[in-house]
Amino acid sequence: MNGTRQAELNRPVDVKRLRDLLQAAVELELSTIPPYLCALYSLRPGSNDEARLIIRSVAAEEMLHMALAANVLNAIGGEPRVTGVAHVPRYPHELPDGVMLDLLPFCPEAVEGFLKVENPQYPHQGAGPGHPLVAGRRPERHLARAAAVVGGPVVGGTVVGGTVVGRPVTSGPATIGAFYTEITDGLKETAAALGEQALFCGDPARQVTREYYYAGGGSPLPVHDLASALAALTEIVDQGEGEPASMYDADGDLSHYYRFKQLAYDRSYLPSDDAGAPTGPPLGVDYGAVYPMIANPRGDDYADPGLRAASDAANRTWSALLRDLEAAFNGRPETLLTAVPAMFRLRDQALVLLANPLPHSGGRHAGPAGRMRPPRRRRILSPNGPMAAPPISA
Amino acid sequence: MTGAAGDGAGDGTGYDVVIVGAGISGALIAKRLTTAGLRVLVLEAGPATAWTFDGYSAHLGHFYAAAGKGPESAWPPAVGAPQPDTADVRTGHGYFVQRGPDKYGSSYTRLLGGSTLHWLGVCLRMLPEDFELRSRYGVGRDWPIGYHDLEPYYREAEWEIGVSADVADQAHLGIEFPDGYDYPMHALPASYSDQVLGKAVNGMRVTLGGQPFALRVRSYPAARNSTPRDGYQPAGAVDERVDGQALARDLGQRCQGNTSCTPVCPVQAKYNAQKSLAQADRRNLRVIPQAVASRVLVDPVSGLVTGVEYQHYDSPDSPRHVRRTARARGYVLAAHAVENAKLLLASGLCAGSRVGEGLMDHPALYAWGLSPEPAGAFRGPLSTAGIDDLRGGAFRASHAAFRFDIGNDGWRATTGAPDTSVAAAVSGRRMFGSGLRRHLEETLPRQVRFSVAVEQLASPGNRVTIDPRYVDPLGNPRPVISYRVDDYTLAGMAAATDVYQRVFRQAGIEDHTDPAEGAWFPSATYEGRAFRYHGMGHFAGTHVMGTSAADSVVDADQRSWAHRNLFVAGSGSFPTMGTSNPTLTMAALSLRTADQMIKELTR
Amino acid sequence: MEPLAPDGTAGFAGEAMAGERAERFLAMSAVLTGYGRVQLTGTGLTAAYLRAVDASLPGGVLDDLLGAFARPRARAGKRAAGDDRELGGVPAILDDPRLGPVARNVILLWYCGTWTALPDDWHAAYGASRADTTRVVSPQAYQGALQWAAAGAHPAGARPQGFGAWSAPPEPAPSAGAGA
Repeated sequence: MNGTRQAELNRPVDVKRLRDLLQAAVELELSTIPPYLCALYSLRPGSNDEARLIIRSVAAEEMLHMALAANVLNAIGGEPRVTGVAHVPRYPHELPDGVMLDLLPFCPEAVEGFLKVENPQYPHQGAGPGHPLVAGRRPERHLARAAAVVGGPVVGGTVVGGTVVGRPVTSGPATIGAFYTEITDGLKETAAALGEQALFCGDPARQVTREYYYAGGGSPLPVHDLASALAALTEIVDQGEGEPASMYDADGDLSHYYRFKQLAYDRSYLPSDDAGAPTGPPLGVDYGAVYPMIANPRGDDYADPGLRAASDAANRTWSALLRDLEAAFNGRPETLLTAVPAMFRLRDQALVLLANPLPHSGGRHAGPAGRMRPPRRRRILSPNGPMAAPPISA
Repeated sequence: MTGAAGDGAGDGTGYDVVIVGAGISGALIAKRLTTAGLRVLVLEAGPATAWTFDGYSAHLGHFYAAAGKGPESAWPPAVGAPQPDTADVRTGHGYFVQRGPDKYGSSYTRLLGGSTLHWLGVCLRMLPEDFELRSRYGVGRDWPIGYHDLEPYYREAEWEIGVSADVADQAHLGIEFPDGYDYPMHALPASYSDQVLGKAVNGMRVTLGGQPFALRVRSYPAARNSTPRDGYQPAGAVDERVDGQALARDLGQRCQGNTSCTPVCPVQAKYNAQKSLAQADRRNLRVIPQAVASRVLVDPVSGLVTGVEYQHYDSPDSPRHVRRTARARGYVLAAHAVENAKLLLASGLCAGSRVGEGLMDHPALYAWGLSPEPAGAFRGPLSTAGIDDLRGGAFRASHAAFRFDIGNDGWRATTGAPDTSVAAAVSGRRMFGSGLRRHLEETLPRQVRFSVAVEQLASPGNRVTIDPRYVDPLGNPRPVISYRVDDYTLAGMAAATDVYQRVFRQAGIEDHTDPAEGAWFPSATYEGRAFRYHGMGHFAGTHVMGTSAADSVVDADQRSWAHRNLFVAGSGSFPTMGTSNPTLTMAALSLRTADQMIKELTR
Repeated sequence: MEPLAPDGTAGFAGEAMAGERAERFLAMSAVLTGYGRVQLTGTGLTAAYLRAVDASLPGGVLDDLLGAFARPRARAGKRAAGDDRELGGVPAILDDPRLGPVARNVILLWYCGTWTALPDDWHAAYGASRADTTRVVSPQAYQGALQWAAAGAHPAGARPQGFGAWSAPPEPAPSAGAGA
């Protein structure tokens, strides 16, 4: 690390900075989800059953991580945000360690990207501008808030809606694990300096617990003190990279990194395997049985009005999902009950897009763009007859 | 499958208990006994194809591709362990030999997991009065135990299975819960159509036998994962793969509303008996699938069981098998009401008793119609609520009680909708294009259906027997069924028909019930009216429990009177059925039996 | 398995270049079903359905049906005035003894994911293909069948709506023709 970073670490961490870091963590976890979902939904129905289970399990755990980060942020009096231009991820999306997240169909490049996200030591190529998937266009990349918050001064960048666009001169944390270490160190220091109770002043009613969250991969721990905050953050790192000395997390499941290695090798790990190549039975990965989604779909440039309408509908559902998540993270955890059906609706709308070829794209297909749209007022039928009502989820 | 310590592999020695059958009774008993340190061998007639998640998914794929989507459409049987199929009821050809005069309409599944693989998941307790029909109403017979004897085991069964309900909604018709008790999970959210129907119907009055009743749409306790209460972790899918990561266990932690509980829950959010087997103490458990128990061996002097002969077949597609014998200190037959009776008869056991007599079912009526407003059909669990108020009352002295199940699946079960609705519009009415689309969008969501389960009493003429002329590919007898729907039940059907029509009228539901339009079902006639009925898959009565060997096969612990180290477990032990799915009650009885066995075998 | 596309990429990319015949099949299906091309293509089943129809019919029948739909009045979905001998509109096609049952089967294919065997008297008059049996085309066809979307629901046993979704009032169906 360079001298500027060292100097920053010696300064006592204030609560606002901790909240900024945790907000960045929430956005970080959120930003990994659309790439996983695009890979997942691009699998042709009836194919790639093992890959489907693996990607789904990782996506579910990333959602858990997002909920855990939100719990910690809420515990120290913060207000998690996942809506609005400043917070919603856009792709390509640059993570603090320089890793680029693209929305890709399930393909070797996507798997390599996932490996890199979970463990940046992993060498990978990624989809450069000349790659056929990108179809010759590379929209401006968006820098993750995490990079902006921790990366120190940025030279030559501009602020767009609160997100810095451009490359920071000083490097951020070397890995996402290091990013979380910065948070845990900061929590310990600040708790010592201010007193644990003063730091963990958040309303317990804002915690998301297993009552409403159940995607699998574990339960969101309610956070109310330093120990529970550290446990929550440890779980995030542990499930992603694995415990320091092990390929497995505390529950005995392979960490995400090793689950993706199975996809890369198209073999499963046997309990007796070490961290090298897996030697178990093949998973049946079939990259050919995939909808060839265009990289980083936009949707606003579709000529076909039917396709634009379909893309719009998916965007509205995505926006509704994010609004529900934000409500759930801000005192109404029961809103997860409408968030889940929104996610399932998004799946159906994504499948329609993914099966539709895009003209003049070299054989690529459409896909969900993940853009925010305002809610549409819908008439909802009730036993008393049709009546205008606020949408449950547009 | 899993091995047990010192199990002497091939010839089945070294066990404390042999259990025949890996359905819910066998699985619960195996779990409880192994957890108490007893070594258990389970013989399951069918394959264990659903035990790994990709095996289970293959069953799901079978269902997707099947032309008919009945209860058996996901669960094709092995050649060596055939099973009844509801499709056979009409043709009269199938595993059952149906002597009549009426058709027995139910089926079951012979696979590891048993009928819980395809059941709906209703977990109602029997009413206190169901246990004492003879004392109260002069019909049927009394159980040797009462509701309050079984009540602690109902609670244990509800936690073993994982039942979703709120005690506040379920304490009616004499059902009581101790203070502080609640189900492990909150009731599943009511469907929109439940809510609409409830608004129209709740509080409406009907009179039966001169007694007034108020009806209410009520959520039923369901074996489907819902929001947990403190201290309960919902059990997801069973994923017992040998290699690779058991990632499917994350599935099924909540019901997703797949609307296919029967025949198959894609994510195992619904309980199936494999979950209990997976939770057993696996060091003490060995399960041998594809092992058909063919004869129970008995010492002629002591009457004690000395072994169970079974036929182990290698391939589900072939009858080729080897014969082996399993031996233990105690034995449990948990193979299903019909299979238990068949095995006892084939072994010449329980001579002089009434094995096989008193076969019961819940013959059920279908009613279907169009609700005035969209009800949201084809969504959610197959059903979430019913009308329970006519399950009990003084009228039971004259005719059967009955219970309504309110479907969420439109007319799927009754007419084969939505496919048949589309075909009627396209082929019948020559509709096409946007007109067709609008018509379907307008009518499909309005489809509603009731299924009304009508109580049946045991009668000696209704029975399972065997006949050497009728054998299956392994040479084992096929069940020969004699069955008649008697006037007590038929009068109940007539009353139920009257009530459903009033409920439809109250709710403004346009009645479309028409045998000509619906799928084929058998019928029975009463006072000039034909009642079409279907079986609920609820078998009972074939090895009835009682207070003495003179008039029953087993005692209150399900122990055979004639063979003191043999327990015969399952709904075959029921003297009466009431109007609830037998599963929760047989689970409670199984746990009670297991506790008794542990007391004796660990002395 | 799909044949390789001319550029050697894996066969499914070849669906995007489905060919003029598949385009006509899609156009006809849109008129017959009342669903737009994006929704129909969105099922991912166009090629599978086309194969199922071709396999289940004697040669030439599907092409005649596609030809009938290519005529302007049929494309517009309008009723033909008067002359039933000229297949001028969709209702006339549906009434035609040879093509009508096939057109209806195409509707059932999209809505139900099943092919329905044609009646014996049709076979006697126009020929029979051995593959003309009543069947679910594939597990994917079962799931992608439009009847579930028309019901505002989901295929039983697949693509669930999620915990609790069934408590909400059903979503009013998007109006036909909004490109959806």
